[in-house]
Amino acid sequence: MANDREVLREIWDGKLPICFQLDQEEIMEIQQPDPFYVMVPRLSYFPLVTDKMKRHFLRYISQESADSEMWLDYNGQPLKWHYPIGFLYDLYCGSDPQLPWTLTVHFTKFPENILLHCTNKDVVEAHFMSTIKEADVLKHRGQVMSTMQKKDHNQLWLGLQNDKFDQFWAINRRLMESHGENEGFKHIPIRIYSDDGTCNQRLVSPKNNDGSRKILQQLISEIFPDKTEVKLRTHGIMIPPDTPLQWLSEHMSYPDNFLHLCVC
Amino acid sequence: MEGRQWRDIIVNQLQSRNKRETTAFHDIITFQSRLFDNVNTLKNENLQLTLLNERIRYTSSESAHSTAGAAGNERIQALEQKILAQQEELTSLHRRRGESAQQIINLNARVHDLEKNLQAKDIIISENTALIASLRAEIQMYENNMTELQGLNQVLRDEHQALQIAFAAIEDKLRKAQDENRTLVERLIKYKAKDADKMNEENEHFLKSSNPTAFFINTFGRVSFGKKSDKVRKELEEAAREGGGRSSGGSGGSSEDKIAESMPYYAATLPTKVALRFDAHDGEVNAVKWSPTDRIVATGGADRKVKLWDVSKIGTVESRGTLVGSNAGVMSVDFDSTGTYIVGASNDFASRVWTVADQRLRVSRKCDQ
Repeated sequence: MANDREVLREIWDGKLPICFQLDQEEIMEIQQPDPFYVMVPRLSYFPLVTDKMKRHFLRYISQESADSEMWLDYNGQPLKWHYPIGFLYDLYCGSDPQLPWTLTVHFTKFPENILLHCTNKDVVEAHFMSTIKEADVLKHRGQVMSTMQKKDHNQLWLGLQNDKFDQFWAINRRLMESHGENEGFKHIPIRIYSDDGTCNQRLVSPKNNDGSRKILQQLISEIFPDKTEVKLRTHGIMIPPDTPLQWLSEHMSYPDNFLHLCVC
Repeated sequence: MEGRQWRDIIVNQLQSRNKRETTAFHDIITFQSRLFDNVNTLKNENLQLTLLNERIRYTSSESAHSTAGAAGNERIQALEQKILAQQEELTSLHRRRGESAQQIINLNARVHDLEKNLQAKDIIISENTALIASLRAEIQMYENNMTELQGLNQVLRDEHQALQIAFAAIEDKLRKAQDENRTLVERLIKYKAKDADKMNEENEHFLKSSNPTAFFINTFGRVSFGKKSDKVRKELEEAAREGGGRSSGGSGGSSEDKIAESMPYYAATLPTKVALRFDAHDGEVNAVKWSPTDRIVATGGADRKVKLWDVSKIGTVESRGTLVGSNAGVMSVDFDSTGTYIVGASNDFASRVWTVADQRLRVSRKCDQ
């Protein structure tokens, strides 16, 4: 049961200071553009928070590239907009935290084979909703999502978009409830990423074969049998290895209902 | 509780994370963004102020020249007033310029429109001229046609007239021919009547000789003849009665006897010797007559001819001519008293008169007409 409001609130309030800088090659004005600082929620996505920044930098680039799509990189690594911002920070910057996070803004040379195109916020919404559905299929065989109405889906999305904790959790609570006598999810929607960004998604049950609660340590030994000292990070913290997976999924999932864990 | 332990660790970590990442930077970032906005607004303000300043400097630069050496404030004020007036003038001029520019644009647009109109009209005119030319050609064609048709019409009219004239002439001819035909028919009828008369005469003649054969023939004659013959008979009877009365002195028995008694009575000697004999006609000789003046004998024969014979020399006979014209056998001939004309009666119900001298037919007439 997702009833530990303190944890949820702490996670929801997590914000990152980010410094956007325009790529030096794309500056077309004599005057150097000022870097753009902003606090962004960890759980949000980049296309939802970059409107003002984009307007700021449009003044300094050439006219012909003004209409082309904007993209971001960190240390030459293009950032995938369809991951939550906090997860991206944990993935690329988690082991060597440096704040504020400095990102480079590009308007040209879109890396077609690395990034997905994102023309407007409807694309982000479609991706977000499809990820939630995937997680629900894993947890409840898709029963909760399919019983929801269109306005509930809209409320989920608007709650995330406008950073409204109560609006979002009023709906998301239903997704985090477990059904049946077993008191647990069917499977845990979990993705484990390595340093190089490769993703590892497995069918993980919240219980062991004997019916006891499965903890993180058991999962790590299942996935990485040859490594002994593996630590996982999410939301900027190291997870204690004895944390049960069921509780982890209920409280530490991102808004898309997945556990995004980084190996470090 | 065991569970509390890992949860506390997580909560603590999250709190320290938030403290480290969020609260540490929150104020500074908000401050920065406020500064950023301020900078932007100030920049805009600065730009506007620079523009204003530039404008003020421009306006004051001219006045500065004149006021440099000036002593009195009045002059400056006057000049300032002047400047003000001129500025007003300038603004009004600017406005007017704007208006005139607008006007020019409007006029340009109008000129453009008019040019377009003109072009359209040019096109229409050219189309119309082409149309006129074609129509004119058509008219020419039709005129040619008309003259041709008129010529044709004239020819036809001429032909018609000629045909009319020919028709009139032919009609005239027809009328003439009809008239002629009518006269001929009349004449034919006349001749027919004459023939009928002649036939009657002949019949009467037969009756007179009370020949039963003649009477028989008479029965074949026309019915109308009967009355006529009766009349004639009566007249004849009357004449015979008179004659009988003269010769017999009024003695009389039955009517038959009277007729027999009233027959003319001639005392004659019978010729005994034939002085001259000749074949006069091919067939019977029906009539012989002496000319009253010359020694000429006229004979009429069944061969439809009247012949003249000169018998002045004894013992010889010389033909003086043949008178032709009868259509049947000549039954009787006679001379007039001067011997110049000769009349012949024929079986074709006609009598004919010839002149002896030139032996030509003078008169030919049917009896019944």
